Amino acid sequence: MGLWIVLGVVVLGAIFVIAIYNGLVTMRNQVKNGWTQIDVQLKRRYDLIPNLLETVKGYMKHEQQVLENVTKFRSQAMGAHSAGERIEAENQLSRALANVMAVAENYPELKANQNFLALQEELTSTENRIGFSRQHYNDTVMQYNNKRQVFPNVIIAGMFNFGEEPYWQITDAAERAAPKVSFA
Amino acid sequence: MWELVRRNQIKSLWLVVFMGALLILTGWAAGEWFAPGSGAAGVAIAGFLAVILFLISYFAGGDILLALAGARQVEKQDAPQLYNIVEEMRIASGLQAMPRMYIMDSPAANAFAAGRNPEESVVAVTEGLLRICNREELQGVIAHEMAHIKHRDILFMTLLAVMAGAISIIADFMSERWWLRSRISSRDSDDNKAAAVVMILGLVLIIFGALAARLIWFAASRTREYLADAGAAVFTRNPEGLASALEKISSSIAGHELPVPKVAQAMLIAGANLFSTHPPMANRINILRQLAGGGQVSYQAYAMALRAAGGRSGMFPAAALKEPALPIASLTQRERGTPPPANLRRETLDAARVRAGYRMHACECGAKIKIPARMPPGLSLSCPVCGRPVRSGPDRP
Repeated sequence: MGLWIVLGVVVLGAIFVIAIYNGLVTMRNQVKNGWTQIDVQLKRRYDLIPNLLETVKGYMKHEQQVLENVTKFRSQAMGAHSAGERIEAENQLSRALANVMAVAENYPELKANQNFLALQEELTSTENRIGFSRQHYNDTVMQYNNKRQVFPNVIIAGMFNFGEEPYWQITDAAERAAPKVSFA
Repeated sequence: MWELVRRNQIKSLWLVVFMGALLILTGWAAGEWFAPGSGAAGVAIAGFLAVILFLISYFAGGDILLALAGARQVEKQDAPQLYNIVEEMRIASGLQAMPRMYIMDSPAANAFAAGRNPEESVVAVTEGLLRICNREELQGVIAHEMAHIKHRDILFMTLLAVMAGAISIIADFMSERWWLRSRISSRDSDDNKAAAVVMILGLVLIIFGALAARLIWFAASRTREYLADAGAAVFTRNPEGLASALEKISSSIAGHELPVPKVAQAMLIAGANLFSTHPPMANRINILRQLAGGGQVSYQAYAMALRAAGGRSGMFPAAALKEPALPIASLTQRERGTPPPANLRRETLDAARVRAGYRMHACECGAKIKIPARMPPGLSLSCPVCGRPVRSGPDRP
């Protein structure tokens, strides 16, 4: 009789642990998936840039610096060795692109260019998508981190090495205080 | 979010079970009414009716709805901005599959989502909606539809509507053919007393059942609307976008009524009958504005605003209320709403206006004035931007 009770408790305990473990795995995979989503959008942005520069170049003859910045940060981001380096470069790239768009305001002929208008919409959407995928990623990370910190999950997380996942943060204070740039 | 979706589904399941019980009861009562002892046959007929209706709406419901609303499918190249917004909201909601997009050829401002599951869904908007909304507002509307998809509302609402529909078909049928019974029952009058009791009971059941079914359906639909609004606020981190869109929709001159059956009205972002399947528009706008003013978005913050506005959040799944509160568009430091490049949509719409007989007048200040064809010539107007006089008649060089 006593044996059966012990056995029952052990089985129940095992089921409990398995359920928590599986829950954590699912959440962690969602975090990974979230990261991939951001990556897809960042790559999309790399692909848009040559097109944009090609279109803009003829009009913005006196804005070499602005355009060079975009090229520079794009290759920096693409060749980044660590996640931190990459995030930094991507944020710089965001700003450089916003700059191009702000400067484009001064070129009415450019704003009448169909190609440019289409690119502008694509770029706006890409920036939004990066923002939204980052938002979704951070939400998922928050839920995952919360889940692995509460009791009794924290014990199982410790046993099976479920580490804390990092948020995608924008560390640069200048970016936070960045003035609103008109894309229209 | 996962917890929310799961709990929402459990709640849905209970409602469907309850509705199913009502359907069985109504079927039984109708059977007994026509011929005592044939309650089981009534249940069978009611069940059959519901299954047929469900199969039709499950496999063809979306297509029927789209056809009735005169929607045509559009691809990315047809409507780049709409596509981009849908994609953005797909990302924000964390859905894996991109819904198909449809544009309805109607000046009324409205939108709906359809489809069996998140993997195979449809988002449809009217031309009227595209015309009046800016990018941020359109984002809010699409986010609302995405929330319906994410919350698995579509299948559930279809199921509920179908069952409520079957019950009211039975009730209508009964109320038109109540006299049938007396003829049938006059043939056997052995246990008339028991039959009379069953008959009265059955009648009460049918009346009550049809009423209850409708009330449940309406209440569930209203809750899901509120929940989808809350979801839209969470996805966009910007309740003002949807609030402003709803405001424009409700004050749109072209209205928001679409030629779809009453059962399907529950699917629209703005239902035709404001007192049934949809909460009052002003209420929804108020709640969203309050949320925007509070500086934080979450399902809980939404539920609080809903209660403050006199609504009941009792039907919100408890898990939704445990979702974390998120500051409006800043936890993630997403750069807030890049102003809308209206150019693309404006061009499409201008082309549509020219086709519809509008006359474009280029003012010296650079403004483009669109004069409707039905405006009589010879009127003197003034440019809304610079105040220069404009004549409504044909331009003379």
